[in-house]
Amino acid sequence: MNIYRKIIRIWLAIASFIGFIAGWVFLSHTVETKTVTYVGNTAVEMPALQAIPTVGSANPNSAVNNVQTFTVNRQSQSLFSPFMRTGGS
Amino acid sequence: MQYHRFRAMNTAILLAAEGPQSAQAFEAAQNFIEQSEQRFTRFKETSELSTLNRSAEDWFTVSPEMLDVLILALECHRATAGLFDPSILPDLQAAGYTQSFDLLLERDSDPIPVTSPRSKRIPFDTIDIDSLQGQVRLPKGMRIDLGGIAKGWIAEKAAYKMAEYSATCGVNAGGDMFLIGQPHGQPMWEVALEDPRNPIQDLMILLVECGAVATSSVVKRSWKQGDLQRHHLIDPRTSEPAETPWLSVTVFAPKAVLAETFAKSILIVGPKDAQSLLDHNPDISFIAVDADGQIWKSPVEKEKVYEYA
Repeated sequence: MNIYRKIIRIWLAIASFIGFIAGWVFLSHTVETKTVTYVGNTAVEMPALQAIPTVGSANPNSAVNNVQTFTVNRQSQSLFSPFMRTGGS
Repeated sequence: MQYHRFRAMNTAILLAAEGPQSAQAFEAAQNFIEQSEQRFTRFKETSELSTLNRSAEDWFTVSPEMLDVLILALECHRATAGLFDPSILPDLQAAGYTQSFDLLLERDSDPIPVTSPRSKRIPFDTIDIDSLQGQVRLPKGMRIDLGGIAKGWIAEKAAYKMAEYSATCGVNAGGDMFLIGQPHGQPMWEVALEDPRNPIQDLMILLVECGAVATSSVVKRSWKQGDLQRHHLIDPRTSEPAETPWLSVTVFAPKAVLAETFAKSILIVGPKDAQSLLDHNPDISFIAVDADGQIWKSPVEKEKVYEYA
């Protein structure tokens, strides 16, 4: 019975050591996580707005462009992807 | 956070909840969503909506749920200057959307016929609603589709069903979502904004407090009708699928019905008039994506938007 206990202890010690080394090697090769950048303060003062045309009287040339744009750097997106997604259905 | 996925309303549903009673929360929400789908679908002859559509010119007693959605639909119709209009159903069918989208996609070898132009549409605000008696009367010739509002309404109601079991929970019905509480270990909910040009990619992460997020897209539900490329967002001013430079619009709002109906309306009007739509609705903000991948957003945006570094 004693010999079996010793074998199990030795086996656990070896397995723990191998696991520790494997984890160390894995982490040392992992790409460093990149942080996200806040871009919410990019608002630009826009010109005064005109009222929206009523239904049936839309004139595509009558209104001003009053929303702004910003571009997105789309690198490394697989690093950070939450469960909740929105994209229409 | 625990998650539960299933399919209903012809779209993927994702429920999220924290705490030991998540399972009960999921069960309550799924039951509610499946029951509501039976009530509001236009693709089943026996649904309450189909029965209502056959009752034009007669007073029809509706369920409290249908009455609530119709009253909200009328309010949203007025708030969007008529751009959200459930009475576009005949136009939607004329554009080829005559069956559920899952079935429509299976028609590859069976082309959708091109139909002749329709006669003049009857505006939704001509509907009669007697909220005290719980009765509704559609004008002659009016048939309505609640697909543009019911999904958001269902998502919000289902989220509140879940909130009886979990203080932090959310419902995502095909991109129309309602979020309650603050996720453990996070300042806000993280919502990935899908790239409409490539749906397997995300454009950015949106950090959203409690409330509603909804996206309308001209890409997802689109099909060929003859030589014409069609989609499901009808512009009530033309009775045709909307011509817009934007591929998708995501709206943030305190109520799901507002988020869903404004997302459609803003997508229809495009960049020239989008902000004007929000003048009387300061609680609503949006992000739009155009065909070049350029992102547009309303000047007033309470949410913090983070891009990938």
